[in-house]
Amino acid sequence: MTFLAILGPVIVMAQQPNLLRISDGKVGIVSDAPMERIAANTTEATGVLDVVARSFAMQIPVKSFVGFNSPLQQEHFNENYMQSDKFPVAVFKGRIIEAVGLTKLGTYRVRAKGSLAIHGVEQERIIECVLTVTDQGVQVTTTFDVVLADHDIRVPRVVQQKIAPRIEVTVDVLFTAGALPKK
Amino acid sequence: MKRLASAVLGLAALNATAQYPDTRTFDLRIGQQRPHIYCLAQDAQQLIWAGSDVGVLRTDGERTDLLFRSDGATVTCLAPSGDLILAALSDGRLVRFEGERVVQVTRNTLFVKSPIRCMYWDGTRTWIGTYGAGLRSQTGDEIMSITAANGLPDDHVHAIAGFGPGRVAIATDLGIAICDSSGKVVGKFTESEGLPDNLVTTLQSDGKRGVWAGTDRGGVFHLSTSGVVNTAVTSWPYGPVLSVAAIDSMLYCSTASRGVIVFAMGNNIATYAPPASQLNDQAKRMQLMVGADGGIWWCDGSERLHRSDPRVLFAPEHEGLDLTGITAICADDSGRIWLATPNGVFGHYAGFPDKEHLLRLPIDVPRNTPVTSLHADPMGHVWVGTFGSGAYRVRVRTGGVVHYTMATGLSNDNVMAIADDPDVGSGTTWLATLSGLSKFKPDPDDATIGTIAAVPTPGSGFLYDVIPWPGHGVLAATDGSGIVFVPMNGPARILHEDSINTAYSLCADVKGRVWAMGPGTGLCLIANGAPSFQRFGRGVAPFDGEMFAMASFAGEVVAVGQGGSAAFDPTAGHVVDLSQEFGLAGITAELNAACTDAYGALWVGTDRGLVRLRAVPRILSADVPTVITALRWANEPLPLSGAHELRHDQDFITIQFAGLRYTAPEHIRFEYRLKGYDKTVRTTRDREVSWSRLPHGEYEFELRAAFGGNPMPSTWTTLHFTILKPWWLRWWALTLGLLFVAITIIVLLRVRDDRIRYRDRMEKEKARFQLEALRSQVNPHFLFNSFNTLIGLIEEDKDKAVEHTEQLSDFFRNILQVRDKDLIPLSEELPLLNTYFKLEKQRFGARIALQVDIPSFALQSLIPPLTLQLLVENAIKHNRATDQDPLLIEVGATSDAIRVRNPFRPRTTATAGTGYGLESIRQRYQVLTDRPIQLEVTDSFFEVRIPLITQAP
Repeated sequence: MTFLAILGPVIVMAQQPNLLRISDGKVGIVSDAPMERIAANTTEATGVLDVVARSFAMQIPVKSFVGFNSPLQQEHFNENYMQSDKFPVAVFKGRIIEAVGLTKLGTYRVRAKGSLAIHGVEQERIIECVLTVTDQGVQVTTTFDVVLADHDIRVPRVVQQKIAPRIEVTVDVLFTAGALPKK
Repeated sequence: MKRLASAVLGLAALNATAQYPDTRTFDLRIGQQRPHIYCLAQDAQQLIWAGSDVGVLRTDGERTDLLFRSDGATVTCLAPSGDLILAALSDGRLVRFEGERVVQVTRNTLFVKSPIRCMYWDGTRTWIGTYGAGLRSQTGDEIMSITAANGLPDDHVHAIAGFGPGRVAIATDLGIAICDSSGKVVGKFTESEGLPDNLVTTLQSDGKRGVWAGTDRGGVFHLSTSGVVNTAVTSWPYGPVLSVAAIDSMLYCSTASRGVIVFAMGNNIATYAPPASQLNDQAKRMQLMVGADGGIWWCDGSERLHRSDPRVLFAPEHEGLDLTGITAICADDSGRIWLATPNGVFGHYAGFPDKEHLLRLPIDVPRNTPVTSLHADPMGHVWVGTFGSGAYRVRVRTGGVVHYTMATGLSNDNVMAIADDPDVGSGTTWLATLSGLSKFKPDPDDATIGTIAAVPTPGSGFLYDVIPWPGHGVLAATDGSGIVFVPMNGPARILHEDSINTAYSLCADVKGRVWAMGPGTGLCLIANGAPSFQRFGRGVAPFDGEMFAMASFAGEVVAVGQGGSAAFDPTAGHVVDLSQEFGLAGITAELNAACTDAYGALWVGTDRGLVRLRAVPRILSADVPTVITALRWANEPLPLSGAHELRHDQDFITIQFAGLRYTAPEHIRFEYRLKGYDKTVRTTRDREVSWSRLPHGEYEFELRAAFGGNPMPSTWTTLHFTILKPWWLRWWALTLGLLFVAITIIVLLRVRDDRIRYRDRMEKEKARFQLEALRSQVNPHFLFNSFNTLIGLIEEDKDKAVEHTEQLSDFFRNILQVRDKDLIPLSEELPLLNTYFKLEKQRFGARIALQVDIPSFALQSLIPPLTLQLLVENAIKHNRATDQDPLLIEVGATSDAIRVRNPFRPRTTATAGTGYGLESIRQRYQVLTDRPIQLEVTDSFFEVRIPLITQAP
């Protein structure tokens, strides 16, 4: 699992048959608050999945989220809440608990367990996801909640009705073999 | 939710008040505060510890104490560690308790980020499992850490449990690891090794055989020490398992979404669900704990603790069948229990195989003739006796029924009891009716049929019960005629008819002795040779009142009556009151609604439902262990072990204690006595006693407890303590004091002595001085000289002679005046001196001279009378005085002394004085002042200085 220590942009190395990389995918975040609904997404997620060791690492540049209700909102998102200059990426890395064979075709409901680092705060999470192994690669879909307080993201009282304390995150990515990282 | 593969008595619905197994709830409130309890532990004294968001609580079922305030942190884990209890808090602190005292608090920031989830004491060291930092163990300064780098499957540890001798099993997010006592990982179990799920959330040790485990997705399983994985339940629809506890053949599982589920042999037999609001938080583990007394405890995140007693099963209904109106019960040899309810007679297995449910006997008993008795004979038939419809004999396997009534030979259609005759065997059965006994003999060729005939029964014939008396015959209990004995050979007769009138129930104990019981008779032992029945339990409820049902259970005879329920131990001869326990409080039961099944368990059909007691050791014990939990001075706790020596001012003592019987803690009574203070034994229901202002001495606090109506045990729990005497009462202080007083007395006496002596001496001195003065003045020598002088004067000068005589007479008159005084002022002594000197001058003429120069301040000073006169006399006596060289005597004074000085010319012919004069002056002055007389003698002069005395001493 030593490769998981690499947090920087994924460097293309000599193709290893076990490692799959994200070639395509979308990560969306939704804040459903009483007075406002914010939905943003990004297509710049990168990551690797080791199908034999069943471990993975994903990272998302926070500044790549688009789809806010206004450019000012995106600015606040990056500067005040996520502090993207200090914490440019959100990372989730860990292992899959079930001993599933990710080389066999099929659909698996598994639990991904690892540490989710947002805004510089790591939280150990066990997230259920659905892995679909096809000829193209492994499609991972999942939805989970992120509690802002767990990651030390403070919402001032004036905007409490506009920003939900729990953010719904939807992940839909495809890991394939030999894909070049998007740049 | 209907389960086809049913077990005994399950409860279909999710019901928070489900009572099977018998569960009770304890409210652990601290004043008005309601703590949220997340973890449990039990210490060596059997007290229950609970960790909450308020702090660490300890309870005995009735009284709860907050032993440690967490100040905002939450207690994440509690575990015993040897004789201590460890508490882990969410702010990284680890607190060690010895009894109620905190002996150590350590803080490690590591535990804030990776909270402690479990702690385990393996006999020598405590293992700490953290969520994020692996496994740690610390003894003294040595810290052992086992993480994913050392072979642990994952750093997130959920549970630790003993796994065979010297080993521990560790449950992590990614499987189970086995470690030995040195911390080396020696084994690993994951899904590849057969586990139903890698995420194992809980473990419970199964003695030497292995561990029970619960998982997130895969339900529960058992892992044996040899590595065999056994899934207890085939399919698991209950969601994530939080905690698991196994006892006897029952398995309790607490789940995240469905509450606590109880399984017996793989089948769900009961469910307890907490309120929904508490179900969705990770912190609330709903930890299950096996208590030392066999009860299963759990917490649910609220202030309530639940205790389930797997020994007692209680069911008001089963599979839709109402069990509150059972009129008769019997057990057969194959482990089945038969119940007579208003809806029919049903049979059920008392054990737990998979495929049996209620079996209904195919008879239709008319509603107005209820079933009074049931009996299963060894040939596979069940007898059903009714009140008014005779008896039915049902062959269970085929369902064939034969109905016996008066028409077919039964003595009476009201059948009260049925029993078979083991001596004759082969299905011969006795029926007790209201007109005497009837005997059924099966047909030798076809056991399904047989003949029934009345047997002449002496006495009233109104029979309540019949029972075989092995080796002797058959006994019947009658109304009005006592006990009827039908021997194997010989006519029936009444036994000891004057000693018992009416008996309702008969039962045989494990030793084959038969006991009879009737209203107010107590328990009677039936014996052939004795002159009358031996009675027991007289005056003790329920034996003294209306009896309902009786059965032999766990070596004792259990009776259920209107006054309560009790168990009588025939070997020890004492009765244990069970009225408040086991769901037997305030119930009624029918006469034949109690029996013991093939496994030894007791079944009682009460008006509340069916109760089953398992025959586990000590189930009928009346013990209430007592433990002294705290000794306090004012509010300061003192250590409970070791000698207790308190200072004399620590006289406000509080002793806290607990009685441990979790089945009915509100019915515990205590008796205590403080030896050394109380004369009599006192009773209380509180758990605390205080005394203020205890005098010093040795004390012994004695305590014992009993529950319900049971008598107190003969042994006491004791605590010794001593209040020391204050230092001023100690032996050494007293001795010193005495010594001091003695010394003071001696000193005072001495001083008095000295004073007396001084005064004595003073008197003597004065007397002597006076005497001497007088002597010297009445000195014949002086008179002689005076007269000589006088004679010369008479011849010479008549006037001078008269003057001289007048002076002489003056002088003596003055002496008369002053000789009694101790001191006179100098102003009075000087005239005396002058007078004396004039007299001497007459004799010596110009050869002597006196010069007196006393400043005025010294005139008031005091001096013993005639002192100066004596000194001057001495001066004249001892010194030469010639015309050419007159002797000048100077008398002067300084600020503190009077000076008498004269030139030093000792006479060659010394008229020796006695030497006494100066010495007596010196002694006089010694008494008067501490300034001594000073003598200065040089070649030229002789000076005497006597101190000035300004005040009389």
